[in-house]
Amino acid sequence: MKNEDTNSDERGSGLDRRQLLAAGLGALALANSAQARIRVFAPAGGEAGDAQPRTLVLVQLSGGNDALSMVVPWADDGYNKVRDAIRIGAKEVQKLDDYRGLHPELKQLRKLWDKRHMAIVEGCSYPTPNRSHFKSMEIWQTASLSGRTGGDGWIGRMCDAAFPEGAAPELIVHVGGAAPYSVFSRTHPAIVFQTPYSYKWVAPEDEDRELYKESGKDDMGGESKGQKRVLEHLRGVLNDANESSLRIRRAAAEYDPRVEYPAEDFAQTLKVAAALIDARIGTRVISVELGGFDTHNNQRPAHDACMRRLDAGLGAFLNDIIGTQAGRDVIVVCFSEFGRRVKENGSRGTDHGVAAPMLVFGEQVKGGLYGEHPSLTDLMDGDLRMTTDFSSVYGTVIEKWFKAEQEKVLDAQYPTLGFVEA
Amino acid sequence: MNPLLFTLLATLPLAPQGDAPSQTAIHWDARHAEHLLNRAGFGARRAQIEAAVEKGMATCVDELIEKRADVDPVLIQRPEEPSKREMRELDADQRRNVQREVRERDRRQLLEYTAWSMGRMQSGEDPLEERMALFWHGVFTSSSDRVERSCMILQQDQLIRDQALGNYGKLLEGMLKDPALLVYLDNQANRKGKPNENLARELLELFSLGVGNYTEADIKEIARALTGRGVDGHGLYSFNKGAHDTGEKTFLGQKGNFDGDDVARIVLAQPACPRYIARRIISYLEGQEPSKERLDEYAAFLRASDFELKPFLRKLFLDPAFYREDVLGARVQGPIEFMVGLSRRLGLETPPMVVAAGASLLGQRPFAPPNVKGWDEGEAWITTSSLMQRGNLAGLLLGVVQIDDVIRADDIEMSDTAAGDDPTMKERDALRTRKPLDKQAGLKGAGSAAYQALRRVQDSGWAPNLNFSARMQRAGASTDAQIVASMLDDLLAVPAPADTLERLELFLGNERTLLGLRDGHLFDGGYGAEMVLRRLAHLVLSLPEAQLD
Repeated sequence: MKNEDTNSDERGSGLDRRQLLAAGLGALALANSAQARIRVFAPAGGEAGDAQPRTLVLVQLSGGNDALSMVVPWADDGYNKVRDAIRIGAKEVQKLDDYRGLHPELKQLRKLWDKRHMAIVEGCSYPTPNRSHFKSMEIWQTASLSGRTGGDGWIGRMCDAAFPEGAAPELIVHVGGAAPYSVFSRTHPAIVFQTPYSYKWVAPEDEDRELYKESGKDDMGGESKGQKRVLEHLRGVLNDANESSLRIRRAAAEYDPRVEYPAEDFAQTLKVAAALIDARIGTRVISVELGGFDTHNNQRPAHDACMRRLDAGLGAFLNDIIGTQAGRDVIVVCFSEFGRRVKENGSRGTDHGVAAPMLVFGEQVKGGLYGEHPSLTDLMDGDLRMTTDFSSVYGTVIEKWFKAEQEKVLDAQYPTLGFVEA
Repeated sequence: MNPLLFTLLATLPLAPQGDAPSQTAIHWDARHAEHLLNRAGFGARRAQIEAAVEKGMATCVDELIEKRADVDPVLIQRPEEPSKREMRELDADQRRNVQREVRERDRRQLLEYTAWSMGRMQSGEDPLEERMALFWHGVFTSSSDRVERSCMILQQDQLIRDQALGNYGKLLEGMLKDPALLVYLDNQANRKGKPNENLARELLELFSLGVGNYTEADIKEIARALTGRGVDGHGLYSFNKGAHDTGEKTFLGQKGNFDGDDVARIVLAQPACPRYIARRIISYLEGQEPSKERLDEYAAFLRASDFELKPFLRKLFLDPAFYREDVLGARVQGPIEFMVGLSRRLGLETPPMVVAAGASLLGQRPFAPPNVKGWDEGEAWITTSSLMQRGNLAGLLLGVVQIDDVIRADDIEMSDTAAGDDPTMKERDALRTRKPLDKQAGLKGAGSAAYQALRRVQDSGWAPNLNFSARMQRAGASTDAQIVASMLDDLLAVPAPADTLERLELFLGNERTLLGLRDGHLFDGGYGAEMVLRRLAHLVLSLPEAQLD
């Protein structure tokens, strides 16, 4: 119900109303000293002097990816003997060498491998593996063996170490529903949205929008500590929303991709990622998620579909950006909370396991294999043993990609890997 | 609440700091009444709060726990697929049509039931049962995305409603035979010699004990004990004797030829169990984790009362610590609560599908938790996007925002250049060549279905039946300051700071002046004045404070 029949002379008086309001708000601003609480950041487009505005795209594969069906050890008896109904045989697999191959759906990724834009880091996990989806995911997201204990996610901590406090509100963006804990940050709270087009607050009149923009800037209300803390957080979110709403929508509307992105959620979130990178609005980390990997039962069709979506999305994204100036400065890291048990279960599926490879992509990535493939016979409770601590992959991204100090983020120095040139 | 009243109240003796067990009684007032009604129900309204203050705390708690509305049980339709023989007589096209029709009918049943359920919450009848049912759905999760037949989702909801204020032990036993849960966690595939651990793991981790109170070996053995529990062709529980592992199992320190009932019994006897459940309930209702001392007390109480939930909730709602300063108005409402609360505070008969679609857009699709852990509560609900969308949904309910305005992409130039950001030429070109909306990113999946539902309701001619002018007059408000104060009091569960008040008064004063009216005479402005009041309400409901209760 648009206010069609509000008095029509009101319509012509827009300027007067705005002036009235602006004068009033100005007077209020003078009267209230609280205005200083607004965060100051570099305006959009302020990256001209930034020689190397590098970006990380973090892809979370949720549900525990059966990575033995993604990078398949097709020549290993330890694989062939215990996988029957869900085995991806030597005939199906896209062979990378005489031991391993890619899932048949990963056709575009195969081409990226051939162009040396794809790295496989073998056997990633952490000491004392946990088989709970949530606990294990927390460990990956916090890079802490105790999981969530109140601190920031590892991306949040990395951004503290790598970027100043006055960075753009769009520094960390999650495209999707709920943001994963990895991007949780107190100093650089993530911008989160599913679709850029509806990323706005709507009102019938401009004056209402002016008022709304002020409502994150108020002095603290609330009478208890608890209420103050929550309100302060909500005000910060509201300010970030107001600051970023137009820039995000413009970036998406303006973007003209070089390839067609499939009309499915995962690919579309990556299209938004490409738009943000292209727009150069100060985004340094983009988080996206692909779910559906919890395949206890009749795994093959479900996991095949996951692989197809992964390939369709990442393939389109990388083909879109590789070769562009902005694309040179992008690295993609894929992880899942755990791999799955080596032996398939009784219902043509797999149960929760431990180590799995991580995939890394990018034009500046040195493609190839890193780390050691875990043995398929020397198992730990039926699971692959860790050969690479995932913290080494994080450490490489932190130290070599973002030129920040590992210890500030991970509380320790992990050996870096060669997929990024020093 | 009137901020002036608050300043006065702050000087009165209230609950002790911290949540240590304490005998200090609280001085029952409007704040406490509003807190109880919001947390033990949805969206307390002014008249309700006043009545609750009058009745006193003990009576209020009694009514919440004991009073029941007469509600007819819901009829569950089981799928009526033609038999295999009948199907054989059909050709391929006919068969496809039959299957499509069965699917369509099934989907409709879920939608109708969702509407019924949202309607129950809005009604204000059985508020505590509704509140606890919503809570248990976040514990014993099953998603209608994975449980394909709606009859099972309905049946699970009925089980949850039966035990929402009943007995946790019975709920757990029921859940281990609940078709939706068995399907959701793959227990159909958990067979003798081929165990599937999914249900066993989540049972221990999320439904009863919590991480750290069991071993991987316990999971494997419990999975064996749960073999054979499955679902028949009508979507009802069935036990497949042949698939059940009758061998000896050892878990949680016991050994025997255990089956699913033994699993429930042994799990319930674990000391970690009442502790885990007490923690889940208290942290949900208070919005904060309880202290160790308080948790000890409540866990022991839950054990002593044999997992009966009414005495537990009564104890909690009479506990001064439940009303401590740090808890009052410091909890972020979840999307379903937000939509239901909004509708109730506005006094609207909002179509239940609007409530469901709105909650889905905000991240909480009824009967479809994102994963087996359920929904993350509290601040996790608020993102830059969901915070603005909450405001948009409030605008929709107030009739000042149209759904197409929310999803339309072509408003970038017109609305936002006013903010001082001039789009560059390149951007203008991009805007000119923009593709049609449906070709653009991301308008798919649950979000899009929700938008379509909202559009359908709007197209059906629904408009809010609101009369703020009358409401304000009834409350005795006539000046700008009084109207703003009354609006804030009506629509928010927490007070707003002085600068917010000032700004809203400025807004109202400007709009009133433009209508050519003097302060104190806004209601002479008729429909124009009503629209100004709705815009004011929209601003109020878009405040950070509007997210809290």
